[in-house]
Amino acid sequence: MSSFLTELSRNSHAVLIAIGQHIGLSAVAILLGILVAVPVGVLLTYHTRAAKIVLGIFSVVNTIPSIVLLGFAMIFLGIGYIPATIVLFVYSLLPIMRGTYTGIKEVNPNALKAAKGMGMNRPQMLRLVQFPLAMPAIITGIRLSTIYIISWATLAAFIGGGGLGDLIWMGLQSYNFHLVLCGAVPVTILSLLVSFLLNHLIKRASRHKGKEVAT
Amino acid sequence: MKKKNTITLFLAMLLLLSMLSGCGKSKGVTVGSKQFTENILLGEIYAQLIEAKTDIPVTRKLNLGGTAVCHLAAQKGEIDMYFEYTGTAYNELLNHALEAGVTKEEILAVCQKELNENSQMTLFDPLGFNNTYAVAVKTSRLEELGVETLSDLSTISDQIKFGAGHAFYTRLHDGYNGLVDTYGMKFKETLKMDTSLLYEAAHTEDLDAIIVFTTDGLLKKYDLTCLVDDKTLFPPYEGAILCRNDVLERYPELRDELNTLAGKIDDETMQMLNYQVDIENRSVEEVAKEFLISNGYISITDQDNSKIYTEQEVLDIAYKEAGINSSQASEIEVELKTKDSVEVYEIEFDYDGYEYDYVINAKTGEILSKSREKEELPTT
Repeated sequence: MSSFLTELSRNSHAVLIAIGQHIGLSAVAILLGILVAVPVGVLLTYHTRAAKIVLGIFSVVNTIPSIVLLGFAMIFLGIGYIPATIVLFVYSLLPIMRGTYTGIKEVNPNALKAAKGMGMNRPQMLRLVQFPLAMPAIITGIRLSTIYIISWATLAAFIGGGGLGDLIWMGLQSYNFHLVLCGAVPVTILSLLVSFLLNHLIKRASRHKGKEVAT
Repeated sequence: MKKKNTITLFLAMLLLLSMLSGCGKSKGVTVGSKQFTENILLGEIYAQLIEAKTDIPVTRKLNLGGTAVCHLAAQKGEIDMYFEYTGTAYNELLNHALEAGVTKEEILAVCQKELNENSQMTLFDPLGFNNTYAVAVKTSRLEELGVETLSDLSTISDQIKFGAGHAFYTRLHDGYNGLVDTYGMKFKETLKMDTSLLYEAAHTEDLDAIIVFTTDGLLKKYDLTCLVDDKTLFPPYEGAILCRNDVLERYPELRDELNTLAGKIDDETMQMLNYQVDIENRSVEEVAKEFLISNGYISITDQDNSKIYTEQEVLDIAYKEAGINSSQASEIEVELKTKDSVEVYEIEFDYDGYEYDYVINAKTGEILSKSREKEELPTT
């Protein structure tokens, strides 16, 4: 333990840079993922058949080992930060899309009837009824996606994308397991932190949902 | 009580180990190798050379492990020789720091002297290639960039995208830090990435300069050229065969054969040989044989009876002799042994209440002895 801390303090600068790169990689991928997957998920609720096809395709894509996808990305997009982000972005889509789709699909039809009865048009219903009620499912999707992406971002090190994966690979290749931990421990902490924060958000959103149903 | 058991077990294992290592000291020589293509290939080349040029029986224990494993195996007598590199021996076996400025001649001299004194092993003269780190650039871009040496590269380093595997960045003096300190490199971009993807990135010109090993077959595949390390930053890793002294005393004729290849395999030749195995997917045996024959080190007629029968083939011989087929035999045991410097198979199987024993010559398939005894029934 103490030798791990020594290694950590010796590499503290490198670890901080790597954490920064790691957050940069994951955050950009996730934010782009949310921007694309949430609207697509909503659109898919209007076309059930299209939804089956699109979700099916992305299920297949997500089963491709990320290292293979990174290899392909390298051939078509080159190396470094950008191709790594794009691959992570592709992986982030499915859980968010599926969360949005199921969340909105499972909104109580009675709530929708009531909204219609109150004279709401479609955009209003989406904004005022469906979205708030689907929020816990959407955030669950985002949480799942983020945790995946934070751990998969370690593989960006393969194509020069940087991040905490660099420390892990450097440690593995030089049999320096304390260096491996310098990369692995921050990844775990980041995952736990994000998981905790988003769980908190889900709880708040659910409380909101409870109130809606009660009134 | 438990403690006592542990001690007994430990002693039993020690005894077993010492017996095992004793087995290795039988007649003939055993060639070992480390776990990568080049080392396995060179082990095979030496094995075939000895087989063809002498009457000494050769056993192969290729693909053993890392440097520590191979050296320990040689010390214990499990193997008699393996292929070593001067830089590795100097640093890992003899615990000298590889500092910049020590010439390859000095390192070789220290290795030859100290391996002889400390380990009672002889390091033969190197084959000529030097498998060390190098900075490589696509051959077609050498002129465009105007570089031949690392000093040339340092003058334009601010326009260069550089990449290396992760391990290179962890080396204290002869890795990335060394490049910066010795040559004053200030690269435009510095990437860490998987070694196997580096070559592709250099090929597509996503990277301008990458770190490679000088004898890698991929250099040939992607047509890359290594820049000259004009300030000798990277330590020498010259390859040479390392053999225990008592084996050389027992077989004095070995010395000449082990010297045959000294100075005969340069970087390009070694790249070519690695290329044939790694990229063309040819077998190590085939590439080794072709190299030895095409360079006249052995002739086709030297290729004697190195082939031996397989276990299945000798079993079929024994079944045929016993007049039964393979499905009828039970409790089958086959073991390859060396008896009076002849390789034989000892075969045992049960059929119809009788125990059959055969000894068959592994090279000719001749039945040397046979017996058929009533199986002893276990007393109840």
